[in-house]
Amino acid sequence: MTEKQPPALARWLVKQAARGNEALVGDLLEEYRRGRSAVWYWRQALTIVVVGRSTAAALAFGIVALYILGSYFPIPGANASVLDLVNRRAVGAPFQLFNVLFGGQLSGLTVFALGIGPYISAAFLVQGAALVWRFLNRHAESWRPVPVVASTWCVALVLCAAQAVGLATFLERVSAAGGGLPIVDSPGWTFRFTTLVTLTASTTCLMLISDQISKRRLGNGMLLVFGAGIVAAVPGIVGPLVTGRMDPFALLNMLVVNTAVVTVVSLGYRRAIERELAS
Amino acid sequence: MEQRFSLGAFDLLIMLALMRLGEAAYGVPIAREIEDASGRVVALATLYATLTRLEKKGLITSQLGEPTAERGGRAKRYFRVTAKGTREVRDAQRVLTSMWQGIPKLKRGVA
Repeated sequence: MTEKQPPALARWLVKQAARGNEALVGDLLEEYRRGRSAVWYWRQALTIVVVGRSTAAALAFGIVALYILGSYFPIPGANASVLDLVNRRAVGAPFQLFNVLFGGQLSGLTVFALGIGPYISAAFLVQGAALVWRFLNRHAESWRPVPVVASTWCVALVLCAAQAVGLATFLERVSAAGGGLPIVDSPGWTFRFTTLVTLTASTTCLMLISDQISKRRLGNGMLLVFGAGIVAAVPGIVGPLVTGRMDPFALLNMLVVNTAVVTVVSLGYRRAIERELAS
Repeated sequence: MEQRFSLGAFDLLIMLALMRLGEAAYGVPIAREIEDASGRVVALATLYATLTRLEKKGLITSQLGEPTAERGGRAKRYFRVTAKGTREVRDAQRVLTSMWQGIPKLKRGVA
C-alpha cells in the first residue's frame, strides 16, 4: 500500500522553502500522515515561505540601504560634481556596457561602483575551471569546497584590483580627453592606488555579507547583494531614461544581462543546496 | 539582585514544553503540547525559527535522531533545555510570579 502523500505542489514548495531543514519537512509529513488536512499542509507550507523570506527580505532591504548610503560617498579624488557629465558622454560607449555588468552601480562612481561584480565573475571563472581541472572539480562536488571558495576569493580580489585600476585609468583618460574636465583631481598612481584600496575594500565587504547570508542559509547571498545593487540603482536609471539621456537599448541590454546573471547564479545556488542535501 | 529575563511569551511556552516532554521533545510533540495547553495553533515553521534562535542563544541544544519511514526517511531533531535555559526559565517564573501577586483583578472569583 502506498503512503498518503501531501499535495504535490505544496510538497515542492516545502522542499524549496525549508532550505535543507529535513526535520521540519519530516515533521510536516508525519503530521499529515496522522490525519491533518491538505489545507493544514498548505498553510504550513506558506508559513515556511513567509518566515524564510521575511529574513531574506529584511536583509535585502538592509543591503539596498547600504548601497544608497554608499552612493553619497564617491571614490576619493573623483570630482562628484562632474560625474553626471561622464555619464552623459558615456551613453552608447563601452562604459555603459560595463555599467550594465556591474548592475548599474558603476555610473555613480561611488565607493560601491564595482558592487559584487568581481565576485560573480570569479565564481563563473572558477566553476568553469572546475569543469576542466580535476583537482578543483573533486572539491567542487564535496560539501566543504574549501579550495573552490578560496580560489573564488583570490580570483575575485585580483579581478577587483584590476578593474579598480582600470576604472581609475579610464577616468583619467576621460578627464584628459574632455579638455581638462576635472573628473579626477590629481591623476596619477596616488589616485589609482586610492581607487584600488577603496573599491577592493567595499567589494570585499559585500563579498563577506554575501558569504554570511549563504552560510547561514538566509538566502542566496550573491543574488541578494547583486539584486540589491540593481534596486538601489533604479532611481539613477529611471531619470535619464525619462529625460531621453539614456538609450532604451542600453536598458534592454541591462535587463537581458542582469536576468542572465540572476538565472545562472540561482541555478548555481540550487545545485549547491542539492549537493549539500545529498551529502 | 539583578535578574535577566529575556524570554518572550512564545519562547517561554516552548521552553516549558521542552521541559515537560523531556527526551521526547521534537517538532510535532512540542507543537501539540503548546496547542493543547494554550489553544493556540502553532505553525511548525515559526516553531523551528524560534527553536533555532533559542539554540543560538545557548538556551537549548539539539541532536538528530534516526530516520523513520513514516517521515519519508527523514530524521527527527530532538531538543533539550540547557543549564542556562533552565536558569532563564526560573528567572522568568520568579519575575512573573512577583508581578502577578497583589493584583486584585486577577484574584480567583473576581471578574
